Amino acid sequence: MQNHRKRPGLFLPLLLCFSMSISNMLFAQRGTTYTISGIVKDDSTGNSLTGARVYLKENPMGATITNQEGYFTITSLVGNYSLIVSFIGYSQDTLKINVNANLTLGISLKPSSEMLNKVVVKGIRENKNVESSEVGRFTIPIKQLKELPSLFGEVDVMKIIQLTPGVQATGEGNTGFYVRGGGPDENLILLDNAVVYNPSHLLGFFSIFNSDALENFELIKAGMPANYGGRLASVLDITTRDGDLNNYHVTGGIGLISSHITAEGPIKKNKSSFIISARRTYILQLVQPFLGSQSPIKGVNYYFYDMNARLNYILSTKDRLAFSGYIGNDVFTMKQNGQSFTNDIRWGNVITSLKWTHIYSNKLFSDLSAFYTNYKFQFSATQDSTNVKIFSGIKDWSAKLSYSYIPSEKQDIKFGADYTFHTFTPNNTNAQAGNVQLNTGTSMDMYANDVAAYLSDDVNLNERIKLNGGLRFTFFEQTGPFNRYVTSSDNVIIDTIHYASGAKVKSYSHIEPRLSFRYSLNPSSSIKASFTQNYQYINLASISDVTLPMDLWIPSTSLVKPQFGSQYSLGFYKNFRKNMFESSVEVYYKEMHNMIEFKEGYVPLDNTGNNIDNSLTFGTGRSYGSEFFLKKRTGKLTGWVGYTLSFTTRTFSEINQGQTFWAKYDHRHDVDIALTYDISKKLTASVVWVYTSGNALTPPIGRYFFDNQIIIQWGAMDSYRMAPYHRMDVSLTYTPQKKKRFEQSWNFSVYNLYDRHNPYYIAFVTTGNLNDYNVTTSAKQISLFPLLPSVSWSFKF
Amino acid sequence: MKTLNKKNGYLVLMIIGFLSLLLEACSKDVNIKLPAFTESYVIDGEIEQGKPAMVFVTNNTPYFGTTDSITMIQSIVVPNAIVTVSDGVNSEVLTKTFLPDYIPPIGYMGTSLLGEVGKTYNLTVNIEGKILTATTTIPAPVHYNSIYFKLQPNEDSTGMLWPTLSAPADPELYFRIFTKRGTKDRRYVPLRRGSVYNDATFQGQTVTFSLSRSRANLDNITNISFGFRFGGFFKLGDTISVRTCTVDKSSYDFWKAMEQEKSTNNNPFATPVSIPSNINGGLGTWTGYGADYETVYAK
Repeated sequence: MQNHRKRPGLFLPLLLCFSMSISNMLFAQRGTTYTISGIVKDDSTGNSLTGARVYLKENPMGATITNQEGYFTITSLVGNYSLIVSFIGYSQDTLKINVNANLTLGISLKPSSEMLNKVVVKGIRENKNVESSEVGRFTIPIKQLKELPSLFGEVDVMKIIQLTPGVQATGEGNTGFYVRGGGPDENLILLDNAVVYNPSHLLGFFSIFNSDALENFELIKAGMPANYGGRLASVLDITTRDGDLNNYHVTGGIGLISSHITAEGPIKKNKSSFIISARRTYILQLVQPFLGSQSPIKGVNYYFYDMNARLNYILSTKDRLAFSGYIGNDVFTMKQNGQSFTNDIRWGNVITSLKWTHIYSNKLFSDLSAFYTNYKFQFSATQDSTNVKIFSGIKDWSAKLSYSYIPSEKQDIKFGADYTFHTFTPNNTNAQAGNVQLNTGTSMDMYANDVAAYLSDDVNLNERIKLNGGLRFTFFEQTGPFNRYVTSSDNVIIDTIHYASGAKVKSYSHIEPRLSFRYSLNPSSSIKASFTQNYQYINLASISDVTLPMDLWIPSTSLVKPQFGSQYSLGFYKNFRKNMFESSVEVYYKEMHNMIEFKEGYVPLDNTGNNIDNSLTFGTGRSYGSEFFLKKRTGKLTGWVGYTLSFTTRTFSEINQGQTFWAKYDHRHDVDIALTYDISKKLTASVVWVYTSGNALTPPIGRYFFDNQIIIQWGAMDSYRMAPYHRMDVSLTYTPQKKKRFEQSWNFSVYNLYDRHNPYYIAFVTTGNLNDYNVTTSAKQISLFPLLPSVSWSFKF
Repeated sequence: MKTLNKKNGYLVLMIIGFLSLLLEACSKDVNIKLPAFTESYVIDGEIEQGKPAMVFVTNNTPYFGTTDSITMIQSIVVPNAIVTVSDGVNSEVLTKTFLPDYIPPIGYMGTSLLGEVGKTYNLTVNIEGKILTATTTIPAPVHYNSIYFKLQPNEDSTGMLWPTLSAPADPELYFRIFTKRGTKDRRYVPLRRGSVYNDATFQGQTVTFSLSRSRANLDNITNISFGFRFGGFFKLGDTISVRTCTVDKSSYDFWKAMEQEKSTNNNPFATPVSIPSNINGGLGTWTGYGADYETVYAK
């Protein structure tokens, strides 16, 4: 560990001196330069466009991409130029400019009709994947996502990213994902920069992200820049849409599982806007009246709802204010006739953020944000006079300040700081038997300060070499009030140490180096490499292999050391046919330390005289592999094909007798195909095909009779492989001609077209009658979703 | 108390139950090739105050194996073990005995050495030169302040037992609870939804809790269904004997893990539980029971 810390200490100052001096040298040789800057907006809604490409026709290598506020800056020598602005889904704009002083421009792009954009190929398309220093990125427009087939017609960002190389689903139909062998808790999921702790509805079959409310998303699976941190594996950065600044719209849809509606429009024209989206499921309520009294789901209700809202104020040309909020809940209730047992489980997130963006000059921007997020899980069960309540969760108050300094188009410097105050509630239990309140321990909340500061520089050293170097300093401190129960080896409490409110219990600080590098072979191909080290101070302790609502977030403590990961990634990127095709090959090697698992047989039982971290065991993980990706960006046929070869292991001293085992989701081969074809202006067809090697499973090797029961003896951890998983989905989207202001579209999807019975798990089943000594054991393969057709209708006016 | 100890089970059951609605329709038998199997001996032994020791010595079998009665008994019962129980002063070699109420029906019984509260008992099993050993103690039993039968709300014939217990402030107690209904049950059977408890949550307090019916018989041991139905009540007119036993910590850990293994069995999301045996050289347990008996007439 010492080695890791020493190197970056020298690295950053050197890097900055080096890059600054190089860029100064470059400009010194070239005479007087001026700055051309401005904001790119959507002509119809007035909202700024992030990711638009801006360049001078005469100097395409100096191209830049608009930032989060739609802002761009390029520098140029004196002269006459053509400034070209392009963005997917918009008509390209060309401006004749005469540069003899610093220029500030306002540019509005007209949305091209969706079909037109795909069929007609204009100008030079984006080649960001080749020219940026970024590795391991994936993004597609939300619009395109809606044309892909979906389970029950519910379009889901988190399912789409599972269709990309290096990303694995945690289970059939599940939104949880593994990136390059990391656990589901190692993904930093951000909604408008606020951390999302549980992104799933309905036990993970749907994510909390309502695609109607989304603007953009990006997955970063390698070369994580220094402005992100706190997780080892990836960042999924999701932003919600700003409401239309000029006109009012209502969009909505009806599907088999849920219905959703979105309203947006100006609060004050061109100055401020709102957007509000809501979703609700209803299927179990609809079927209740039709159920027989013996139905196991009679009296059972389950639904989820969520709402997104965003307010956007343009205070001045230099200031913007945005408020964004999410609230959502899953509710499960059971009250059956003739049963004395009732049950109520609910869980959900509240996620809010307030962001003030300020533009100091055409070179310096800042964002100041404040966040509040809260994830809560509550379980209540009553049988006669016995009642049990369990609640758990995590609550954050946080603030972020970030600066972006763009001295020239050759350089983009980012720096900033984050602070979060976490409150963890690990399984608080309340139990009552009759009038007696059972002693299940007092409130066991845990508290922590989480601080980070970063500096990164993305610099073009010359036409071939681009470097992105950064450092992230992190500090994490668990604070009181806290009682540490010291136990002996046989779990008897031998001492209790009390920490007062605010007192330091344990702290950690680290420096995390981030480095990525691009070398252009020619304008359409490049080689990129990255090296990153990350620390993760909060951990998700799962009592099972999939993400369930009762999984607990717990902080690093004196027993739980921060997780630490290093990743090396190397890739070759090539675009061809004038950027019609994007292709890449990436290889990676990754190590993860201090990963956590519950000890075998952990039960979240009571809090009396114990700390949750006494129930954990620690280990390491290793993952390596290669990813192949080919994407067709334009034309009638668009989409991608990906293949991943990967190896992932885990080693825990207290699991599998310390022997290394394959991670459950160690999938040797993984193929993803997602294609969309525009049959006509009104009809679009899509197909998705996935193939994944089977999950690992712990097999039974023997059994014995004991206490008049049959007990299974289990073999080595994850030493058996289930059959491979493969599935094809198709969909057809029909968009009739727009009538006046009214637009509508129908989506017909078939999930699992050839009705493959994919193994979800294998149950080892004992049946028979022990009194007659007639017992059979067999293995049953359980499959989840058969062929499932669905239809959904959406509208906009 | 039952709910308390099993709430995680319920939690998982809820989730699994919900999933199983989706799942049960889509299952099919598959042939799978399992890794190599290792033979071991399994000891199921107990000693209670005032009673002689009873020890079953069996073999484990491969997971998929023959199941008709003759081959099953032949293959699992170890017929030629020398089983010795000692309290440190006296010892006795147990005699192979036919025990028709148990499965398998052949075990080793003592006659002269009876259990005593507070004493430690050593078990030695010699199978053709292979020696297995274990140690257990018989803790002091507890006695309920009262116990009665009460009908379930809105039910006119089924109900549960409601014992009241004053738990000592110290030491922590560990229990296993069994019931037996008149002649309907052939032996004391452990509680249906888990028979193993501790008093960590109510030490020094008086609590009333419910006992539902133990699994009456082994007619249907199908374990694939995780439905919502709990059932398991006593009926008006039943004569119910309750056997409440205190056990030591290592026995508690064994039975707790075993019941947990049974409840997570086939849970696709759970990791298999490894069961901590107190038998040196084998599987299973050697448990000392400090037993207390109550009889309730359900009226």
